[in-house]
Amino acid sequence: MNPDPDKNDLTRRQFITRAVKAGGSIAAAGVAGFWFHDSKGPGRSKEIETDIRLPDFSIPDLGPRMSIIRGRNRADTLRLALKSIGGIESFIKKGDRVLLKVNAAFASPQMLSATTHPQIVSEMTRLCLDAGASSVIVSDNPINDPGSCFALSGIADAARSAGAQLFLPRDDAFKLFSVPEGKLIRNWPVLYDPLKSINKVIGTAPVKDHHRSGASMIMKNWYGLLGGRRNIFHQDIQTIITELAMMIRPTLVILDGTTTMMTNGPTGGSLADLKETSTLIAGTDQVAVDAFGATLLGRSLNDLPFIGMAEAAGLGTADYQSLNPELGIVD
Amino acid sequence: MIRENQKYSRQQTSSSLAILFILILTATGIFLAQFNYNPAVLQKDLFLSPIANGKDSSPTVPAESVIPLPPDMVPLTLPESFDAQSLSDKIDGKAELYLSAGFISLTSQRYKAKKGSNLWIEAYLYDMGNGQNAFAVFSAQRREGAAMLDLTPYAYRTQNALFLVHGSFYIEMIASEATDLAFDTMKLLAENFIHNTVTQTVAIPEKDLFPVQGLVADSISLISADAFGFDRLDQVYTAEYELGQERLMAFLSRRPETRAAQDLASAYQKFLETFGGQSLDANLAIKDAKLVEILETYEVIFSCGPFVAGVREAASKEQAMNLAVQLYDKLKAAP
Repeated sequence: MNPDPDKNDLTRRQFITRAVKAGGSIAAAGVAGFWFHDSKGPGRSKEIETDIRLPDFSIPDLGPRMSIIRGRNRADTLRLALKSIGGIESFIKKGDRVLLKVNAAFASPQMLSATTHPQIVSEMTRLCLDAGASSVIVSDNPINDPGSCFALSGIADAARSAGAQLFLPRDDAFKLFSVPEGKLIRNWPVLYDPLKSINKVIGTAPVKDHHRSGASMIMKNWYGLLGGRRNIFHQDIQTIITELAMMIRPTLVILDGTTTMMTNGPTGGSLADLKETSTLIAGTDQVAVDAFGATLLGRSLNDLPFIGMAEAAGLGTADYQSLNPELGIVD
Repeated sequence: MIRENQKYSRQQTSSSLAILFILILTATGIFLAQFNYNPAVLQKDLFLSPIANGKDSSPTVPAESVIPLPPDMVPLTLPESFDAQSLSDKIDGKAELYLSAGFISLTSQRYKAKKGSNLWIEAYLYDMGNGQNAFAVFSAQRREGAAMLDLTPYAYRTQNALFLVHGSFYIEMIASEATDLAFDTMKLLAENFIHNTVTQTVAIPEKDLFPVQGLVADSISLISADAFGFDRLDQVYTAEYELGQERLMAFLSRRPETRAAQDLASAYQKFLETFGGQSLDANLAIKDAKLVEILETYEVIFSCGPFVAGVREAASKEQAMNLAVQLYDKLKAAP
């Protein structure tokens, strides 16, 4: 007698047989999934080994320091900002070779605050040389053509007149580099030549709105050390800014909020985009400095995810007040 | 010995087919998704393109100018051209604003005074494809409180720059100084470009559809894509209003047909609800109008013929509904 198929009655043998087959199928699917799983994700078909290493340029013994100085004259506020955190001699010693990484991204006149102000360049160069530095190199890999950018922004004249060397990027000045634990900066051309000959790095940038990331300040400034078709990273801009901060641990950073670009960044173009915020910040913690810079733009930390991401990566603190910043005013 | 009958019930067969169908769908989805990796992670060979080599664009011989020059100005640099792929090489992160608005190409060049002055000016000539696109980027970047110019229907100046729309072109002139000489020179350059460029007149008929009472002068803007964070809202005109002490915004967008406008109005309402918006009884003299309270403001959404329209960012329900009714009346009478 044949069993009635519509009754759904299973014998024990049928149940065990089906259960074994189902279990075997599930196990096979799991093994196949494990076999094809790639925990590293897609990458270049040919991974190129690079022996380039970037040292940590920070001075751990100094600990986190920060100063916030109000005033309109950049040379005066810069001097007081440095004095408030121990003086330039705490950071620069006799014989040091210094890289001053500026923001010379655009061929923009200095009054539009799209680039590092020439006064910061000249005063910082002078202070370093007076402290005994054997050389100061000023460099950046601008977005527009380098010659025009350094010339029309006034940075070239300021650097040379103060005694700094200007390093304009060349094809052969780049080397492939990978940020340890980085996802994006993998075997990517980095402006290595000015970095290989120095032992101190000072980053300086203006406070600017940025259409994609929300803000362009100290951490974003390291973008100017990347080469190649780096604009591809705009698609993951918060992550790339975080990895830039992983790439460079500077000796000191100077964030210029004397005039802040409030809208239409990063290029701006009109004086109407600017606000006189009369503040200059110096510090050893680039995350904390950027966190304060956000307040000049009227942005919260939620508006600028890269700050929280950099903090989570152990690169500094977003709670700049915990550093008890030194406050000052220059008349 | 009884042979097992291999027939199965209809229910078992249906269940099996359904599971197989889901598995096939999943596999197809994975197959398609694996063509869309984040290129910033994949780092295709793009990065092996030529690196910036520091070539100076300053001309060693007199360069052609893309704009007829006043007699006391000469080119400072060679003309530069950028397309959609290279636009960010010129304006970095701001490129997205233009790319999402139909950008075709950018030509830029710098000019300097022949003698007696350190003045230099950079001209940016964005070809946006049509007048509406040009108006979109013009209005998105309009500086508050700027002085309007009569160069074209859409033109204004700030202390050191000129911004205008001419046909399909959006033009920026940026000077190295904020002086009368700079303004006069930029104005002359702009006029020369306008006279030498044949293009269609920009027509923005939608600007006449907004109620006039309380309208903030020169506040009408065009959002090309992702208006108010909603990816289905594109080509949306907005206008700012000051009513009493309140500031609020009206918006409208022409869709291909009435049904599309109705669907979009409903979809936008649902979008607001997913972000915590509470739909309230509209009780308005507008058919199928929706009233949503969100983030301590009120929004009214409705459709009228091919238009989806409404009011947003209103602090009070009454002001939102009043303005919405005025907007509805204007749209009803529209051709």
